[in-house]
Amino acid sequence: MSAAAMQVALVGNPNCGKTALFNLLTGTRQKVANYAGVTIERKEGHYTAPSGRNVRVLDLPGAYSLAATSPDEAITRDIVTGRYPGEAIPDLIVCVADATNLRLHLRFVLELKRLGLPMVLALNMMDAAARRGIRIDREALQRELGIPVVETIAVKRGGAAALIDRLDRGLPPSPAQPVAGTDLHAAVRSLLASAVSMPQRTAQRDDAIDRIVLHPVFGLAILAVVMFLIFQAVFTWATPLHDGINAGVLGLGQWVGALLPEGALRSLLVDGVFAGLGAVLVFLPQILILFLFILVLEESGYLPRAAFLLDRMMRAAGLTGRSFIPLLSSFACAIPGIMATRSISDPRDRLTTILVAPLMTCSARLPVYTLLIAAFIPQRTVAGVFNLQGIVLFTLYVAGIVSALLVAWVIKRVRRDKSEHALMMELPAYRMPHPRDIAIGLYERGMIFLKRVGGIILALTVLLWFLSSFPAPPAGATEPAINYSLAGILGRGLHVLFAPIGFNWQICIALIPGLAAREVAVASLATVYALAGNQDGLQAVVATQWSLATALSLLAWYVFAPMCISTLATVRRETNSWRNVWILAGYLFGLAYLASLLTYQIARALA
Amino acid sequence: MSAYGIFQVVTITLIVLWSAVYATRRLFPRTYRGVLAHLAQPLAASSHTLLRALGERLMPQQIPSGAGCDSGGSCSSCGTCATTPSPPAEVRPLMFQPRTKP
Repeated sequence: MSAAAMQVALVGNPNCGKTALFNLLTGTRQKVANYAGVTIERKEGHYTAPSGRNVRVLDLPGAYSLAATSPDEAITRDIVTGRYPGEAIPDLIVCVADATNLRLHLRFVLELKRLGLPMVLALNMMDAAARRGIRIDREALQRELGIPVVETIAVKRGGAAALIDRLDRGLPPSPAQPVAGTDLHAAVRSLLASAVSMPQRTAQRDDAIDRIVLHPVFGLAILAVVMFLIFQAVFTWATPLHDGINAGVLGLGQWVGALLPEGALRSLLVDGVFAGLGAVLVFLPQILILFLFILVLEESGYLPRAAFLLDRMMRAAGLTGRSFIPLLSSFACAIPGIMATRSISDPRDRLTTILVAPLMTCSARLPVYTLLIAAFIPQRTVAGVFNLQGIVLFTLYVAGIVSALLVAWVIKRVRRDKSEHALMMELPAYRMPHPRDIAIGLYERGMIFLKRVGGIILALTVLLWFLSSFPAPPAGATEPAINYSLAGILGRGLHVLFAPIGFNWQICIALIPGLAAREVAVASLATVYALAGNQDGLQAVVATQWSLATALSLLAWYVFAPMCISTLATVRRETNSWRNVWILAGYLFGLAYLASLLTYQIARALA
Repeated sequence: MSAYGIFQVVTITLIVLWSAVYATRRLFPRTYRGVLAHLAQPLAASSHTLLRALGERLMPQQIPSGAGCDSGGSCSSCGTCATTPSPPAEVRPLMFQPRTKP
């Protein structure tokens, strides 16, 4: 062990609060949620103990056993056994156990004890255990296990005080090795009998809710209503905020434009930065409202139930219920979704999930959808209650989900896979979402969006402005300057390929930076139209200069939109294969083109 | 060219260059790191103090094995992207040596 820093690994079953404890110890804000499989990589943090000792903390993916069955469990196994390349064996294992579910968690504690490393057991969620009437005799458990046992409440400020105090007292002695061949389940029963007293029914409330929520008919109906209401809210609640930000950005752009003399710098700021970034920034309220609902559902414990409800449907399509959480993560961004597939043990199921994850509508597509819906779909009420624009948005999200199921079904047929994998998933206890956690989650999402706007979107908007402004038009030119620029020439070249699906050359230009991040397509359109002399705001320009068929075609394109470069890089890394990257890119491009072609031609014929 | 004209050209050049470097770093992180390492290595080996310091500064940080997703941090969601700090110097990885035949 190093004299300077003690290396501590947080290990335990999934969804026992390891990451919440990690955040509490190190002051970081790693993602936590009320379901298994959120952490799929080792995370590292530091804190200084009251004695001044530096403690390095590793947060490891949840595992049910050291006999790993999935890539994320293998990381945990390799680190605690010293087989992980570049990572020293931890000085101390802090085994985190859910105090409300010791019957399951103690088995892994006993398995870890066999490693012979110094170990502390953190009984987490002690508040929830007390509420359920579960009484744990900590002293007795400590005596029986032969390792220090501390109580923690990782979601409460100061909830790790006992653990910090114990760690500060230095390493406990290595635990005595149990007799070889001991039956772990029998040992757990013996521990429970001597140290834990449980009421007859520990989860009556959860069982009552589950009878309705997991009902094969009512459950699906509830899920559909919840999803529908989310997309209604995205449109109806966001409008005032959206309009406010839009007015603010336009006003600021005009003010800056009035301060600067005519020239390239003024054009860069007004037509590039303000028009481009402003066109994306206005969608912050929609993104926050969408994530407000997702965070509440994550915290409540409802999402794993949704996975169970959809398991039958997903199995028919060649996926498993295990794919649900990665696919759900893909609604934020396909990258964490693809990373989350590490919790899928079957490599073929994992590959299928990776290949369909980009079909889930990521939040980067929301600005494109919202722009086109607001420009072309009237703000009308349907059946006296529902917002028509919200219904269209819901339909686009459903189109992504249905496409993913269809593609998975085709993959299953192609690989002639008849195997089925039963879904084994732990259902967490229902929990009332904590407003503070939701607020932090929303702040994080907001900051991620703003960092993207101020980072990659700004950089690409500036580059697009440059390509759209140079070379300058020749003397005596009669068309707008952008028509003579590099971007203009490129856009017209691509127009040949995209004309059959109704895209004009401005859209063709926007598609290229849109490969870096989909929202950039909106920023690019705003910049291109601003440079062409349209100063009315992108939504007004699109509504007056595009046909309905073109708008619908672009919506269809973005349901399948060939994914961003970053997603491709992640697929390459996770599958270790360029072949899979080409398959993914090829089929998405083909589907996007086909869907847009059909949409455009049908819409034109009907018009 | 007027003073404002010069200011305009310099400012735009700097902004466009920054954008190009930033976009490359985020979208093609491996390429970016490779180019940076190629630039930094000869500088770091130089006998000139300033050049050596510049080379050491340019040298890309080691990323822990297995960390990140190679996306260049585009999604910024999981916190384990290329910005993950390398382990502290005092932590030594286990070295597995192939068994030698007697």
